Amino acid sequence: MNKLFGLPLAPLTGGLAIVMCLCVVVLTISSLRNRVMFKLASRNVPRRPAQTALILLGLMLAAMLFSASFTIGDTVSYSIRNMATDQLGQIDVMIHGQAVDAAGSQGYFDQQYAADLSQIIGDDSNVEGVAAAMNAGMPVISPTTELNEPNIELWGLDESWERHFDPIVDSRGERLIVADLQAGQAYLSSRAAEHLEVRMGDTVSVFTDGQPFPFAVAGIYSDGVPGDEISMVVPLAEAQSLLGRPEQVNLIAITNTGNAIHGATHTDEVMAILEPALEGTGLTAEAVKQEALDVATEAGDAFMSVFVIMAQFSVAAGVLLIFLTFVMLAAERKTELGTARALGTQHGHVIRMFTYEGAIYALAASAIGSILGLGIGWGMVRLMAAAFSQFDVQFSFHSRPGSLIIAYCLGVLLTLAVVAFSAWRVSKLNIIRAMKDIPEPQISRARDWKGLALAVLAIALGVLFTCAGFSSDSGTAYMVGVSLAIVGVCLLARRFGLPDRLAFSLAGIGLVAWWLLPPSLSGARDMTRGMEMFFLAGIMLVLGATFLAIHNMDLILKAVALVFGRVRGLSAVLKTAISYPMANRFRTGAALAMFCLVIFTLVVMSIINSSENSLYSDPRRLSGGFDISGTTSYVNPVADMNAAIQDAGSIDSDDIEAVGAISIIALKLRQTGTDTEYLTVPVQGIDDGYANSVSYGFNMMAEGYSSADEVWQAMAHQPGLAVVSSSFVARKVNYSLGSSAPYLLLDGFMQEDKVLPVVYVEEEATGGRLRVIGVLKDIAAYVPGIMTSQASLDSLARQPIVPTTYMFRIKDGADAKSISKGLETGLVQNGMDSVVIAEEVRDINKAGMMLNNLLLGFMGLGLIVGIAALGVIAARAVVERRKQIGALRAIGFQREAVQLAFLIESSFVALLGISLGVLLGYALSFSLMDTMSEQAPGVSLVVPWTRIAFIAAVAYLASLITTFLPARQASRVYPAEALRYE
Amino acid sequence: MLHYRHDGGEQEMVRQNGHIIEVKGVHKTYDTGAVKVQALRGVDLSIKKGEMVAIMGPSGCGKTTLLNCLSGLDDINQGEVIVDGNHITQMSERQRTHFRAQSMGFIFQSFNLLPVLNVAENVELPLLLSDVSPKVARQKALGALFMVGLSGQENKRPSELSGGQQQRVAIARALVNEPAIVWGDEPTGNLDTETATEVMRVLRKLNKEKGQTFVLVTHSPDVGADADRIIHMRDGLIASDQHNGTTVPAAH
Repeated sequence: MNKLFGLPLAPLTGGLAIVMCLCVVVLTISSLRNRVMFKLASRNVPRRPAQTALILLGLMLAAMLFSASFTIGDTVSYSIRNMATDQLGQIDVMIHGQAVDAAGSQGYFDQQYAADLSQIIGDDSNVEGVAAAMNAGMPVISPTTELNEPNIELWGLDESWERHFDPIVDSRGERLIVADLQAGQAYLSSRAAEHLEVRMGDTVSVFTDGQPFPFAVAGIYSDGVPGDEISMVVPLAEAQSLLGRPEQVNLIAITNTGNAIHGATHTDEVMAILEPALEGTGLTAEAVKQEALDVATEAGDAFMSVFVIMAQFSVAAGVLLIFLTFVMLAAERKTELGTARALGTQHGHVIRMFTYEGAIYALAASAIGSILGLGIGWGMVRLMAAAFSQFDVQFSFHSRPGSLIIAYCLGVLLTLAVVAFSAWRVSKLNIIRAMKDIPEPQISRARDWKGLALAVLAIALGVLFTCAGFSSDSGTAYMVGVSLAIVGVCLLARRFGLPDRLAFSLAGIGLVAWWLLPPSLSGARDMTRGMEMFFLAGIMLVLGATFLAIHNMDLILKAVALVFGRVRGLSAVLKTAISYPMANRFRTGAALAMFCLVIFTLVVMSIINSSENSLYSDPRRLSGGFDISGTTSYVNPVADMNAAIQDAGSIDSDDIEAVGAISIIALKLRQTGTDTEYLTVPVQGIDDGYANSVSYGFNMMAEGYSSADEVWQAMAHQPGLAVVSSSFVARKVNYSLGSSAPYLLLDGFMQEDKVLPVVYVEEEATGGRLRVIGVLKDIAAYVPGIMTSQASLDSLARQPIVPTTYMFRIKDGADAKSISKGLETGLVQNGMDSVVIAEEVRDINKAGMMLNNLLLGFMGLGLIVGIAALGVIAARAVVERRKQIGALRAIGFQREAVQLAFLIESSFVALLGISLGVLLGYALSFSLMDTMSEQAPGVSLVVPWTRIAFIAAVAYLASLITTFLPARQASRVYPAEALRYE
Repeated sequence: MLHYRHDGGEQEMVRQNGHIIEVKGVHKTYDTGAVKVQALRGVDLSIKKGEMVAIMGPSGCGKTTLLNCLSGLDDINQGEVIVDGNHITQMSERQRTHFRAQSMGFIFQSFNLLPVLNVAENVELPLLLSDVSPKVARQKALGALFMVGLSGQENKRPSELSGGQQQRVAIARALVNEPAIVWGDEPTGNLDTETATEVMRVLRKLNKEKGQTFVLVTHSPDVGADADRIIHMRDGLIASDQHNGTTVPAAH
């Protein structure tokens, strides 16, 4: 993990640690100079242990979420690094010839190059060793068990390899020497032996050019060979003879000095020597280890970013909780603060006292939060490991101390900032009013200059942001600008006599309507919009809904009382219970907003996940109308698939309706007319069968094309035309999370432009060009890069590229699984490895769903905020209303009635927050569908009501549990005692 | 449904001697862990139905404790308290609460109105507790407010009223369910002289009209002067018992 929101982590950690230490030092010096204030602050901490526990619970959330996000990032990064080092072993740099397939493994060249290179770089202190090797995918069969592996990775290694690279060892750790192999002998990997069910001494047959070549298994290794886990090793000369390539290799591997990871640090120096040495040879060097480690770091950053972005909602709710908590602490101590002020305590002293207390909470809560986050991260890593286990991805828990430090510092600083602001706000109390606990008077509107200034500022900023949004095409600035203007105008109208209820209701309705308006109506359709819009939409919708609810609370409560007030015996309790939330708008509003915000995000995420999931209900949509995909070995390609199926005998050819053949190669391309770097892109060449059957549509088509079919037919029959994956063209509206860097990004237009301008891509070595005439829909999952015709691909690569990938569409009702098996059996000598697309899609969807659920669970942690808020409010209410409870008990309220009144009060806030969150979440998802269905046709709004009901029930029950204790405490208030302290 | 012990003999006793409150040898000790404070040291007392009694004495003499023990707000350590023929010391906490809701009214020094409810809602609360229908409760609350001279103020919040008005709301709340006994703990303690006189006038009028028993704890000699009987307390014991100017030495 290297970056957080684009900022390098190392300096960020240092910077945050310094700022935090500075804050602590300043606070320590200040507390030493104001010992009395510090004493007051520190003695307030253990005053009410239950309340302190709730405060710590609320305050630790930010650090906990940060820590969990960072832990996940660290783990992903570390695990991918592990996988990279497992795959590559000691190999740091690979040199190969011109690639003729996507993996680039078949470009053969003279073995002598390895010896020459060894002469040039062998003595360099950065290089540990150089070795040539042969590496090819081959079909293998066990004649004894009749099991086959369509694409085993065959390695031809020699003595120089064994000298410089990892030793090949068996499960007992004993070394297997390649030079010890006799002719017709091979070592097999333990996974390959397991799949083929063979043991030492058994024979396996490798197929090349349709002929079997038997090898006796001389040893089974568990470690030491790079690449796939299913592999076999023969001496280099044997491999050369098997593939008919005497004195040729297709790979030179270089290992740098140092271990598998540290060696990569010498890559730049090694590459600097290699590049001039390889000039003119047609060979290219690739810093594979460094690239893999970079990918690992980027993946870690991307994962962490997703979780950090999603945590923002909970952190925002957490900030509100910190503020609310301190405002309530101040309310609780109003009388004593008033007395302290009367005795000569300055405003500054009060601020300091609260800040000291806040600092104590912040330091302790962030420490607990960071450690708990580590635990949560660990749990989530376990769940991720389960989600990805079927894809052979292994997650190993890892957390860097730096991540913990940064989570802790962020938690402390965020809390301190909010605490300092709250302290400043509460310090402005009126001494007499505070001492006598008299409510603050309403400021006369005519004299409310601050209100006027705020309204004017909001309007001015609103206009500024709106204009900035228009000029820079920024949807964010535009949407926020108009929102500010709406609030500003309503505040101004209030200042000039519009009643509060009307002014705030209008502001609330305005905000909600504005953010729910489809982009085509709001005018933001053609502006750039990203993930931050989701965050802002959440905040603004919740703000609007809270304005509306709080200022019309009496109507809501009347409705509640009308419905439930008729219940015998509930009337008095209900009347008391619902009157308190109405009387304290700030507290109710804050708790309402917290609940609403968290539930809103959970509902939106749930609906979007379920709706996206609807895409997977028809796998053909994702595969372009095909049911089975298969690959054959490059060494034994199928010349004519239709004929091969007829001949195979294991499949009823009538079951197969269409076959598409695809050749594939990785080429270095860039957009013509730009001077950007050439990037490696997979290019697929399709045949007529594919073009005639594929059902993929396009987001953009070039001028002159009016249907998808026209594009496919033109591409198949006219030379030099291509279509690209949707990831090749940027879009203004991009709600995707994290950075999924495309192979190539075409410049000068965006997907929203609809008509594709004339745009070409060119190949580095040959200078050949392809004109892009279509940008595929996002659901074209089986086209990762560029697609052209096979003839165009051959011409671009200046050599014929044999098709090795096939797509099959089967007759409706035919059994895909048995056809897939039949294909593998019938074409075993061609190394046919086939997959039922529906199964593959289901597996991918399953993993995706688990990941989504994990993210949902992570966001659900934010509920702690809302729940803690209700707990803090209820605990405070017990203290605050002690005398009132005494009076109620005196006039005849039973204990249960007092308890019930408290529970109803909390339930009212929780249920209203939950309901608003569900409503807003549903409404926003509905509005987002507009954009989603445009990008991914077939997606439909699916509302997972059961899941939403579950989320709501968990949130409500948890809130009841937190309020239960204070409510019980309230019911135990002894009337005589409560009334004694007048 | 709660059932109180309506002992035939004791009900008869009330009828014969007219005593609605009988207190025998009541002791109350506050145990704070470190210190034990003997607030009541064996109080014997009888109060007749319809009497207005003022309990007076210096701070800490046990006046409020006595009121709390008699009204069932607090437990006693020893002795007997019989209210309207019911041994309230033998009642469960739940029964005592229900008994209070039906038979007692309370007036506190600082009014103890619920600030979040309006005047009418505050007054009707004891009725709603007794499962009176909301409509009837509101009618009775308005009637009670009329009695205390607060008609037209029913929709105001307590914070919008003066101290005297707030205490009158508390009186209306105490009387709305027509309780047999009204307890007042310093009912005029937070009021100026003029308002205090006005409040006492209202209490006296209601006492005369409705025949309810009033037991008022007070420091104010004016309140004492308005009462039928003044009981002076000192150190947890009744020091003197004065009837309409006649001082009766306390029986210990």
